[in-house]
Amino acid sequence: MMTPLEQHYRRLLRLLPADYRQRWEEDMVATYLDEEEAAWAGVEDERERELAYLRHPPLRQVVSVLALAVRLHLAAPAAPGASLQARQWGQAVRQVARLGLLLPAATALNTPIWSPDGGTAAVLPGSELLAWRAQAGLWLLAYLLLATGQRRWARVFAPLALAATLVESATSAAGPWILGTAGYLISVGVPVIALLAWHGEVPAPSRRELLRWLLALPAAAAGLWVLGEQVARFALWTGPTTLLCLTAVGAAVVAAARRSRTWSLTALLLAAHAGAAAGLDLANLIIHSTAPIAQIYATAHVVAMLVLLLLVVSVRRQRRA
Amino acid sequence: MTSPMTEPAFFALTALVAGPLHGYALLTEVEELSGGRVSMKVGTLYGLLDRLTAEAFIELDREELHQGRTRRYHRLTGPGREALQAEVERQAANARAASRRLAAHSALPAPGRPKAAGSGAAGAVGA
Repeated sequence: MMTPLEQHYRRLLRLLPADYRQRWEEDMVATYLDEEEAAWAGVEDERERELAYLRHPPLRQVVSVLALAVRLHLAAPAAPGASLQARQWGQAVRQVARLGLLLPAATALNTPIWSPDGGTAAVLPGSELLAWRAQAGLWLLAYLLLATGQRRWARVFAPLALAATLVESATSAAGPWILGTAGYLISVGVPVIALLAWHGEVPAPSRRELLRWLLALPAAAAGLWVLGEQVARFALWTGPTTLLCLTAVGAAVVAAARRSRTWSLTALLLAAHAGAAAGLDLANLIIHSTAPIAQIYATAHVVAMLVLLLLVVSVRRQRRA
Repeated sequence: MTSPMTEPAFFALTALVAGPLHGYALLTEVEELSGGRVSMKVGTLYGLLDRLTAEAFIELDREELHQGRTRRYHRLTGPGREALQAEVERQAANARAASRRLAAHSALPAPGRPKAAGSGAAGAVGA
């Protein structure tokens, strides 16, 4: 008869891809239960031993299965035994991390953070100016580290940049900041989570890739400058969410031009990501803003991302058929 | 494996040299061989076993029924043995290079210790 411990463990293993479970599930369960038995073999109290089989698997075992699930579902390009689908998903999630970090990094490059007002065009108290400069500098550093293949350091500095952004938005927001900045935090937080799933098997970027992603930074900053300087309405009524939406559209255009499944997955993920950020922006504007034009813009963002999402899904279905 | 072998992979292949082992025996053997340093969780072990199987370094030896559960025994293959041998030679060459350097410089004072009163730290030693 299956003990509750075994049931819990098998339920946990459902996180792993089906083909992998077919190969290894029985063996994993046997090894896990062997280990549990050995751990409790020395305990004299029979009741305590029986209770052990009613428990949940310990956290360290859960973490090891979760890490395995991430590695298998988001596989490296040359991971032995990984399915094509897992490699494409892995590549798409890594593109979301890279593009998602590119946006705040390009924004930081586009803002003269070293100037007396930190490029904010406002008179800020010293602590706020410091927090503003810190978050911008950290995003720039995190992106450069990732683009040059320093994955480990990028994984240290990107969460630091996110934490600095949290601090900065908490100190500078005048009203209830949670909802007001939630859209932005989602837009920069999701790439940081995607970066954490970037495992060690992924090879360092080739020289061509490295050059491409390094050049992407000044190119994106120049694009931001053009948008901010030349399109006055854009600067007035839009923000980071708009950039994310444009990135999602850009990924869809690349996917269509190259007929690439990886890029269409990237577009799918970015559209969902941008849609969620835009939805939070809209909720905030409905509650706090009296400017209907801002609400109209935010609604347009949500609708555009929903349309993009449906478009990408239907194209993917058609190609599969 | 073109890049250096990871420590868990190295000890898992080493553990299988003496003969086929099932998952739990492999876990305990790796821990013992590494002096307790490499303590793998089940998820980590099966990530490794799947990779080593895909690289044809190990293969299924047999299945046995134990207390109502199927235990799978894994064995080292020819390519697995060769990969382990190559890794052993790489590590031995590293150790020899470091030993030679240490022996050549053993007569000099340790870095950071002043050579003589007033001369400051001996920073250039062993460069």
